[in-house]
Amino acid sequence: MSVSSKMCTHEDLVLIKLDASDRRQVIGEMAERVLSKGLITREFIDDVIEREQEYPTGLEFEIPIAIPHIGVGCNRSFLSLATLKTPVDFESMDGSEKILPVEIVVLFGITNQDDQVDLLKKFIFAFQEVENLKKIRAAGEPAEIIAMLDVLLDDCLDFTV
Amino acid sequence: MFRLTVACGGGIVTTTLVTDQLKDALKKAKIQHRVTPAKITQIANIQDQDMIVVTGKTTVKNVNNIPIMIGISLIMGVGDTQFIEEFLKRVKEIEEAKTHGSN
Repeated sequence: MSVSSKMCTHEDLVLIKLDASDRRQVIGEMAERVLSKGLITREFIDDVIEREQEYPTGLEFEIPIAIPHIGVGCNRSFLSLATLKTPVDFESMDGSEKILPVEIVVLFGITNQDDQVDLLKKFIFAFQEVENLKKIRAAGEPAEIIAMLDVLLDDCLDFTV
Repeated sequence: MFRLTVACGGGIVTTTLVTDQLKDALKKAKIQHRVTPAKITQIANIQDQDMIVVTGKTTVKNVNNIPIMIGISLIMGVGDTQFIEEFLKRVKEIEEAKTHGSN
């Protein structure tokens, strides 16, 4: 896969036991880090929070996760992950308006969805496995999560950021 | 030609993943198809399509009576095989009805 279709990530984009009270705060803190690396525009932050309101991304896996993302305002495809100190409410993606106590949030941006189908498949398949989610949740250091993602998203990640 | 619309809430991941899996299933079943993306807000008025698959629960009905299936299991990875089976079954029924001119 060419570099441009890889997702960039970095230890600085991984937050362990983030202490936040609501989804706006979670997404905001994660996005600020991504912004500081020049990977997104400031508009991205407002847009992704707004999008989460309208089209929630909570997924009711055994360990609930949320995958807020948009494709606009993103200079390079990227992935940021946070494990939360205490679960934060996100609404379920299935439109049922169910509130999920999310423990892991993956904020990401995709520049070209057609090119990146394989990456998205690996991404969702990785997070469908509860064993992966358990390991991610238990991680004590960003480096551990980066190492796991590197394996799970085999060849789809770019760490030069 | 089976005309499918995949509608989701403005996300990229959901449209891409669902479209990809449905296209795969249709290809394997050797059913000619054309897939068009749409937003969930548009589905009420869609026309000239044979089916709509949405990735979020919705109570909206299509004014042209186009059947709607909810494909969230394709994102969750739970019940996805059954969904695909049911999907293909309905696709074949719809295509049959077309060939017999009852459309």
